[in-house]
Amino acid sequence: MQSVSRPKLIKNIVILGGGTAGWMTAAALSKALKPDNIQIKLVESEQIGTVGVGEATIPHIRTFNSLLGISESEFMQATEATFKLGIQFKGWGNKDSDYFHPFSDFGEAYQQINFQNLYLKAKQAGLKLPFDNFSTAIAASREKKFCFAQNLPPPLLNNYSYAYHLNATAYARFLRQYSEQRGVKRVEGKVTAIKTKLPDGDICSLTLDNGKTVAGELFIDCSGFRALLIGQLLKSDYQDWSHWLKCDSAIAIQSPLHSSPHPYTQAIAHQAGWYWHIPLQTRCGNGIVYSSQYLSDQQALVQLQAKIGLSKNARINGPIRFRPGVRQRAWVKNCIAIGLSSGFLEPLESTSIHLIQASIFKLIELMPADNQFALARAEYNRLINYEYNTVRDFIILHYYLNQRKEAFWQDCQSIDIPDSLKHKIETFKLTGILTENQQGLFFKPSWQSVLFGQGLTPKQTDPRADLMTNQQALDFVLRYLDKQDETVRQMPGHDCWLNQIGVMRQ
Amino acid sequence: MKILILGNNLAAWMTAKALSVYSHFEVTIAGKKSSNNLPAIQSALPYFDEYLKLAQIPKNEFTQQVINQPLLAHQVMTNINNASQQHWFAFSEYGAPLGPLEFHQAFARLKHNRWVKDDFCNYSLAVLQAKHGKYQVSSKNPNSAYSTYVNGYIIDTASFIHYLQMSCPKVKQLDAIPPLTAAHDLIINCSIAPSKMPLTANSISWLEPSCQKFTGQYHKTIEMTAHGLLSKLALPDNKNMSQCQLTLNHLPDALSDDQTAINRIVAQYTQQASDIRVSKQLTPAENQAFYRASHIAFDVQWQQLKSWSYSAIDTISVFIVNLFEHFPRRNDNQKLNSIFTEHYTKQIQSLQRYDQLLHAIFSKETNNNSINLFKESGRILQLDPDLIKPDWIIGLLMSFDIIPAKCSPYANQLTEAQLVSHCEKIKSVFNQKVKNI
Ligand SMILES: Cc1cc2nc3c(=O)[nH]c(=O)nc-3n(C[C@H](O)[C@H](O)[C@H](O)COP(=O)(O)OP(=O)(O)OC[C@H]3O[C@@H](n4cnc5c(N)ncnc54)[C@H](O)[C@@H]3O)c2cc1C
Repeated sequence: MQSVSRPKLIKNIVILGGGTAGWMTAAALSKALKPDNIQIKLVESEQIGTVGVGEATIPHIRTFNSLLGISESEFMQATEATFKLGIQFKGWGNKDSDYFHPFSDFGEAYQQINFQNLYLKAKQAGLKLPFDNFSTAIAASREKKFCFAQNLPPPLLNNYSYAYHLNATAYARFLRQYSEQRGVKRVEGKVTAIKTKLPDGDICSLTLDNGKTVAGELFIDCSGFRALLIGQLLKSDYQDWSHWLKCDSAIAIQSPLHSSPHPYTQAIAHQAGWYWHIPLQTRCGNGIVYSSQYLSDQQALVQLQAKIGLSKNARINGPIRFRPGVRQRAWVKNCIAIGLSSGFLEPLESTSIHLIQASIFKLIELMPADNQFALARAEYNRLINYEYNTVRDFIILHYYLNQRKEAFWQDCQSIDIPDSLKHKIETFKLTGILTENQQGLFFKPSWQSVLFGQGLTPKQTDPRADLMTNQQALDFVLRYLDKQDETVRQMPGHDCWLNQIGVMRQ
Repeated sequence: MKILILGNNLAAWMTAKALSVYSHFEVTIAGKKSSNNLPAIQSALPYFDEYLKLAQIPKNEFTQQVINQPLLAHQVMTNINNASQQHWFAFSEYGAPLGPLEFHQAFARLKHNRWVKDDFCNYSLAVLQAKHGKYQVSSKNPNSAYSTYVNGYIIDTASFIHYLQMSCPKVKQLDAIPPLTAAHDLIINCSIAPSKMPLTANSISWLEPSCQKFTGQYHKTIEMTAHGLLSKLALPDNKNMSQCQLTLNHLPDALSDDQTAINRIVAQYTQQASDIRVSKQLTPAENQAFYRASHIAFDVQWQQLKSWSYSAIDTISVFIVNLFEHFPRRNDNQKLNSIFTEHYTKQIQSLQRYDQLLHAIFSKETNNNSINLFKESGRILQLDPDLIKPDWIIGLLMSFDIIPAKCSPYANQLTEAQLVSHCEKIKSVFNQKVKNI
């Protein structure tokens, strides 16, 4: 309901939570808003701390950083960041499968005929190579090579993008400094009470355990899984997706880096979930994601320790419990949830930081001047739901499309997946066509990588591709491969590049 | 692959041309030449570039071989006798943002406090060019002011069809429709008879001698009349004739078949009308393209949707782009049918939403979501897919003085003097650019 009282200007924005979500929001708002006009306060509790994970990103984070005017090398040094060209999936599909989801296209089109069709025709002429061999990002990943695409002169290929692996705590610290320089006031303390006002039930202030009161007209809930404002107080319904996504727990452990960092994240499937492995400049982030119904916490921990060869003394973060899903409405009354408080999808495709970023951008676009914002709020909620839904289907795909024999995986195969996904898979299987929307996160190459990677090959090709014989298609894809090989041959090693551009932390 | 296209009309030839890129397709067009009741001159949205790309028609070849002209803007006249009641909008961005502050929000703040008397449209380089009868090809360089707009087209229908026919000589033509046997792998039916549903008259079109002011202009004029929206397009090479199209608010069914009554309506607008045609349509929701494994039908009625903003060329372009994105497979088990129909329909709906906006403004509709959201927040509803860019919609709304009711928080943090100086800077740059063209 739109407030009937006189509009009240927003002069104070209160962010609750100082994790990645809280400080990303504070940084972006402090860039957009001047403190003499709208004051931003961020409340966080050292005693509670942050979730302390979230180290793999996707290329969109570069847009975020560049809008903030952050220098890449400063950011990389501060966060011990390395480059990331994609994600390696091992053991998904079947136990031996090993494929990449790269930040690049596959091959190149011919006469507007998608490369996939030419690849399928080449296979009929005897090509044995898997689909993911035709990506510059993947080829470079496998060789542990990296450089910026714009540094490759023609005719070398420059058809890829990149993201980072970063230290999440350091990123929050970096953004905190950025925000405080721009006038954001940090308030230490644990929220013990929340005051709302009549008649609309809007939040008006937070009371902290140290007696402080923080008042505002707009509140951003970045309190993590606790969802103190949006969940506990405002009771925004949570759409639970655990019937589609069975994993509900994670344990994280950091380990020293033993060899030079590879420019990709690893997601390695195990009998009841998967492990992640994220190399930073001097250490690795590791973790296990699992379903507590199929694997006990104790067993998960033992497995993870064995996997990374660490002693029992390493600091353990977890078990972290989660429930996949999203708030029906991320914006309720004068409170907007961003980050883990608004929903959670496991980090298989490193999407959480992106979803935080997408929420921040939408908020900045729809930022109200006063407390009368019913339509902007409805639009925001619609857009955020759309974002989460597209990511959801893509994550489910990884689990559903498997040929593994363990009970967990067998059960994943028999999930009654969302109709949108069912339709997408069936259409691809039969026709090779992948439908695409203008908005949302994952486009054709992402879907192709997982569908092919997990063993689904379309039955048909685009009749336009018959412009070439199978043999001509084979020659075409092999010519592309030559160009790709030459490109990767000329790229420096990832570690060399990190040193060369001077981003290694001293 | 043997492809049979039924219907010797614009849709058929546009489709054939796009298919002719693939030399292994054997394309036949069957049917008597049909004008399909299309106006002699049509406009096309910038989306037409997608079709040109698909059909591999180089832009300069199109420009040289088809009688056409770039379409930069629309000029709506709510009162033909009062020049101050003109509303201009373009396929363009307006002004330039100031950090997070979008230009229209800055302008709205100044407007609220009466700091600007100027029209919003004067901050569009495309509108300024159109007003001065000038045109400069837009630039791909994002740092250039010329990248702030794109253009649609004003196209001579007959000349376009002629070009298509000449440029795909390998397409076979049959006067009669052959028996539909298995001899063809794919049938694209561009001539299916209008369905049996009752049709209502949707527009009257005619040609009239062009007054000097329409000749060689890069915009479409639209007048608000008692019968509906009257749009006029002219091409300098087109014997100085203007194509007029009156999109009707309402015409009783009995009148639509009465030529004298139609002539009487047209006479209210011109004494020298020729080629008067009434176009009838299903209501948009009932129009469909059908897509079956090896048989695709594109309803003629649907091809001819009439609007002040889009034309048959646009609906045909949307059809063909979608057809190619979901190119039929030999055995598709009906999967593509629903995908194609969903995408195609949604895209056409995005054109219809744009069309409706002007009607909603005239009829002072209070429950239009787009307008209400814009008034509250200055934002445009983001729907997926949308072939119309948010900036174009903002331009349309602002040209009718529909402006965000409140100042954006980003506008509030700047002084009015700063905003005015920003606007003036843009204006002087844009005016200089137009002068130099
Ligand atoms: C196992 C796991 C792995 C992940 N991996 C990735 C990844 O690779 N890539 C990626 O993009 N994302 C990943 N994520 C998600 C990512 O970690 C989060 O999206 C991100 O860290 C944002 O968290 P947050 O700021 O919402 O919550 P948190 O980090 O939990 O921060 C919550 C904040 O709220 C404060 N707070 C809570 N209650 C109170 C109170 N009562 N009073 C005062 N303050 C309070 C806390 O002190 C803290 O500052 C992962 C998540 C998990 C669980």
